[in-house]
Amino acid sequence: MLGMLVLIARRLGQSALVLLVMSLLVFVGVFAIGDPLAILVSPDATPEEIARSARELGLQQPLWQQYLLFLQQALQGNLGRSFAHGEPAMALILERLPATLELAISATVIAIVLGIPLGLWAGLRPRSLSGQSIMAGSILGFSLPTFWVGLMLIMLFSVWLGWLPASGRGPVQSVLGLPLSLGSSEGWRHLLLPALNLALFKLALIIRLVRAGCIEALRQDYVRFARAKGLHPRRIIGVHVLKNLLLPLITVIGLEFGSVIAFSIVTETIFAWPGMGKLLIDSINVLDRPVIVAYLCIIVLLFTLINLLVDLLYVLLDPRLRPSTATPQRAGT
Amino acid sequence: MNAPLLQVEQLDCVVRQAGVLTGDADLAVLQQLDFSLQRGRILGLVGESGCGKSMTGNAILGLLEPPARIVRGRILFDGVDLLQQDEAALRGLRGDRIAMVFQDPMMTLNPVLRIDTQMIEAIQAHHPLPRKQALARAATALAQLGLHDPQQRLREYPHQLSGGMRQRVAIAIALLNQPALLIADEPTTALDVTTQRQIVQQVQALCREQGSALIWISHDLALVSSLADEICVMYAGRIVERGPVQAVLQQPRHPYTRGLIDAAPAGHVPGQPLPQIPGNVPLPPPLSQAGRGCAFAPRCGYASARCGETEPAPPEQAVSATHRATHPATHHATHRATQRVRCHHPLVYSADGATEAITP
Repeated sequence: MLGMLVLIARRLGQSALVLLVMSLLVFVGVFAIGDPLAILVSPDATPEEIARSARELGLQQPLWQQYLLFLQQALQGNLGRSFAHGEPAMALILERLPATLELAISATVIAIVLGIPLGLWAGLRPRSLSGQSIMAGSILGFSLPTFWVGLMLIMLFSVWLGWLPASGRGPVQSVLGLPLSLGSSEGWRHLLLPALNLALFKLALIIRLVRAGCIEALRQDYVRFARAKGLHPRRIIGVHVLKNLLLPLITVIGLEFGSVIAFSIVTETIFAWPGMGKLLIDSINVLDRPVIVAYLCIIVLLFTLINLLVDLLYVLLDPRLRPSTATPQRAGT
Repeated sequence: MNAPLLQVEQLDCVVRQAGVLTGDADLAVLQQLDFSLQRGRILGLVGESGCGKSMTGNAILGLLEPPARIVRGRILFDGVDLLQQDEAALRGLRGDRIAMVFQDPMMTLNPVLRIDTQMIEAIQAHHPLPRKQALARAATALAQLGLHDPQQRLREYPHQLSGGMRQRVAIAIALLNQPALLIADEPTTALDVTTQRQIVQQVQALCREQGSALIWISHDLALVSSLADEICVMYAGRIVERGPVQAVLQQPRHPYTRGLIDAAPAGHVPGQPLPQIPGNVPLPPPLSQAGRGCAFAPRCGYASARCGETEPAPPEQAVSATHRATHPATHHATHRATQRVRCHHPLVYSADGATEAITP
């Protein structure tokens, strides 16, 4: 238990350090790109108006003072107000978070639910036509650009077949205080295409991972011994092989989940999904520094949290990583 | 005499080798394998690495996987030809009537499953026993193999056990359902000598107690001599000599068996260089070239021109009446009854124990 707390504390410490460096980079980066004032203030504004806006936004101070002020406020939980919207940046992002999470989780579930069986199938019959077809398909999943696949999905399912809506999010209901669109069939219909689009890359990844792991595990002595015990193939695959497969799978799914949240930007843009990614793009366009910083802070925290979760799951799944609850390795017999 | 528990008849086994230029070729890895085992008896299967010992074990259990396959022969277990059975029937036998343990104790147990899980599933795959009773049986089996505190062991994972303990667990799993036949594929090779001796004794005692027959695969002649009733010496996919263990080890008739015994460190004079058989076990020949001469001829000190041309007949016919007639004085009648050799020039022994080869 103590080991677990140390692990959590260390992780939080690390992420605090990352947050510090990251915020500094964003400050310098946005400063280097251009002057937000030039975008926010109308072109025909007088110098007085510009100076007033600069004072309101705190942009008249030198950069290092702005940064120190930011740090001071951040420690009190205030990440500043959006230049463009005038609202607290954190609130803006948290408002969009459920939509992105909904999309990311749906995509991950699709990737897992399809990826594990397909990967197992290909791993059990690596030479068969079906197995090879699955592998060929997964190469497409890797190599086709997300935006193009998204456009093709819209073309096929919305334009030609007319089955699913091309963009936007369906009606939302409050589930446990979060506005989610999973409650209605219309919400599902809106979610399906973007989730599928986002899932494709990860689906390909999981298929390859499961297939490789399956082929590897089938060569192991413990599988041969399980067969010698007279176990049914269902149990050998479902328990002996799959449980060993879960370890690398959890790591990759965890990492990928983080990046899906962070980089769902393309999909959200194509499908006009009102998530964080779209907000980020809009904010970068107007150099809305507080929103960019707040967005990246949330992403860093999410990554930290997910990695922590993966580590804990790992310990749960792999007995060899558990802190010695029982006796350690004995020497001799 | 009762019908033997296991009877392997004229078993031929090949491995398909893919060739880019030459096309696929079948390599003859087991050739005319022929032996039998009575209920409750112990058979030692010896030979150098790569001579087909493990493959024989896997073939009996139906665990051969492509590219290896059986092309001919019969494996009669309790009168039933295993090669005619479907996978479901074989699965019913495996782990229940015929069990097997493997060489590397570090790899045999699944690292992410607890010992109790791995034991209970072995019981419940064959007998609808409630978990509690299965656990009790598992604990008994562990205790029988000399593991202390079996209740605690059951709750542990393989990595918490030493190599010796893991192999004991694997053997306990194999013996859980009191199989009629246990195939042990060099299970103690990776262990230290003391542990090895203990395990061998325990397995021997348990098999005797349960009435299980045992095939112990090993390259260690000394170990087999202390354990087995009978011995099969394999070379390059063939059984070259078989018979009662004492007879074969005291008066081996095949030059290869002689070489193996001479090369064994036990009973060797310290300080003297250890005799060895020159050369290595040949790679399995393509099926088309199999049977051209004795496989051991290139390494054999007694080889003649004939050895390079025709392969000696399988043991059943090798000890022919003519040999007996030619060398009546050199034959111990008791040994001749069952000791069989596959050689053109089997060794014979004069009354004072000196060796000579028969020259036809």
